[in-house]
This record gives sequence, structure tokens and C-alpha cells, in this order.
Amino acid sequence: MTDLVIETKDLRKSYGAVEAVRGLDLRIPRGVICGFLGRNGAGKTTTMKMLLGLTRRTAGIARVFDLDVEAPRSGTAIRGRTAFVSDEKDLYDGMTVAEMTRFIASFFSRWRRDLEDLYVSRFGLPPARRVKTLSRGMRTKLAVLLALCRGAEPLVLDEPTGGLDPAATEQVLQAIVSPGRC
Amino acid sequence: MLLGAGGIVSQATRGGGLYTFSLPVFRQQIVAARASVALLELFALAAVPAVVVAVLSSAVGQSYSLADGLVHAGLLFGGGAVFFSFTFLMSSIFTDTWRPPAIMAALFFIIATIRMLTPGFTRFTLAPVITGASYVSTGDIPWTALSLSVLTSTVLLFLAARNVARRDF
Repeated sequence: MTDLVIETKDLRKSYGAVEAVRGLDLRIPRGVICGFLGRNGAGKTTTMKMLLGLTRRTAGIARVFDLDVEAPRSGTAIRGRTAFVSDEKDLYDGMTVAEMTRFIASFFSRWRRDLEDLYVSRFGLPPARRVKTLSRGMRTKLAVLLALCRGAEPLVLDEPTGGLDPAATEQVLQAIVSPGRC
Repeated sequence: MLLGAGGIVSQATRGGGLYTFSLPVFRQQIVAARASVALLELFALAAVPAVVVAVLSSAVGQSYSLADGLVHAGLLFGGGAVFFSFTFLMSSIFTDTWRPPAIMAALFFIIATIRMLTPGFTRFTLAPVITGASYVSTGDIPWTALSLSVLTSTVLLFLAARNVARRDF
């Protein structure tokens, strides 16, 4: 058993002739913050998707919690212990904030109700408002709330402060590094 | 046909779908849930008019038993499920919402044209099942054709689930 949460070896992903990820070696232990920097199209989002089993690798090894991300049943086990915020912040537009949190909470046995109450209040999220009527910033805050309350170990965040003003950016980053103390 | 369009694949490219796939559930479960809901809607679309006609027929001095209505609804559902399943399969292949119903509409047109030009062709289509022609004329339920329809739908839905399971999002 290793203490590495995420490990990749020579990870590759190609879309036809385009090589989106080329030979990525990554070792991320528990309790650290790791950032991907790169230009658009550098393969950051693709890497995150491969780690969550949303996209299949072309070659190489990718393990999360020492589980092969593409092995049968590994994907659900990994996603059950991982929080993901996509760059699109795509949520369910037809649901209200309260419905969305209740629905997502039902998938996670370690859901932190205390954090949910805290962030709904601190982020100023209106429980009765439909997601589609939220501003981009509010959607981002809701997506971050839904990620933080899962009781997940790694948080996989793709541009988590996109669309936020400087004050909200600070608030969200504080919530991410110190859950419960934003 | 419309119930099968706009599936999880097109949703994943427009928003919402990717979030669903990031949850700790199998893709097959997501497909099964969506197909089940759509099939229930299809059954409601088939059953409600049949029940309404059966209930209201006496009001206009006619008789149409509820049992007959439910048999017709079952036939309409069984035959219609093939069209739904085929559109559902197309929706697991194409990321846009317009191509699956467009392909189905083209298929309808081709089948209708062949039926017009070749009268004997009708018995090889789903029309006898959906209209309940044999049930009306002889009282016999076309079990063989109905079973083939259900089997075809099952295979098409299975292929759709396999497509979604293999896909990159």
C-alpha cells in the first residue's frame, strides 16, 4: 500500500493524430496541493478526466488510491472518494440550489452537512433559486460547495475560481485550503 | 422517437452530463435510468389515450373495453419501443440533438416509400404490431412479432449502453 493518492507513469492520450497528453509522470502524495500550469490545449483537463475515468488513456499507467483508473469498478470507487469541479461548472440547470445539494449528497455517505450549511450561508447561495438563473460566479461557488461537502480526499479542481471576483476568489481559495474556516 | 433524442452524450457536450459521469455510479446505471424513465413515458403516451377512449366510449353510446384498450396500448408500446431504442442508440453515437431524430425520420420515409411501392412489404414492418391489425380482425395478439420487437429494443438499448460505457467525455 502506497501513500500516493495519484500516480501516473508515461501517461498518454491521443485524439487521432493530436497528442493531448504525452508521457506524463506524476506522483502526488496525501496532503499536498498540486497545480497544473499550461497553455490552452496542453492536456490539463484531459489529465484530470483520465484520473477520474471520464476519458480513456491511450497508453501508460494511471492510478488513484492505488486503483487502476480503468479497471472494472475502480472508476466508481475513485469517484466516490474524489471531488471534481469541471471548468464548465456544468450543473443541473433545472434544479434549485437546495435540490441540487440534496441530490448530490445522496451519492456520498460521508457528506458533510455542517459544511453544506456553512457554505450555503457564507457563499450567499439562495437555496430556492434555480441553477440556471445563477450567475457564473454563483455557479462556481455552488460547484465548489458540492465538491467540498463530499468528504472527499483529493479535490480535482479545474479552474475553480473562474468567473469569481477577487473577494470571492479569496473566499473560495480559503474554503479549499481550510475547509470549514472560510 | 423524440423521447430517444437528446441523450446523455449530447448533454455531456452541452453541460450537466459530465457532472453526472463524475458521480460514483456506473455509466450503464445512468443509461439504464434514462432509458427506464423514457420507456415509462412511452408507456404512458400509449396507455393514457387507450384508457381515456375506453372510459369515454360509453358517453357517446359506444363500447370499447378497457382490456382491449390496454392490449392496444401494449402493442403500441411494444412496437414503438423499437423506434425509441433506435433513436436512443443514435443518441449514444452523435453528440448533437438533431441527427438522431433526422435519421429516424429519413428511415420512416424510406420504409413508407417501400411500403407504397411493395404492398407485401408491410408484414415485415412494425406496422401490423403497432396498429394491432391481427387483434382487431381475429382477436389474436401477435406474440411472435411483439417478442421480436421487445428483443430488438433490448439489443439496441444494450448497444447504446455499451457505446456510452466506451466513450470519452
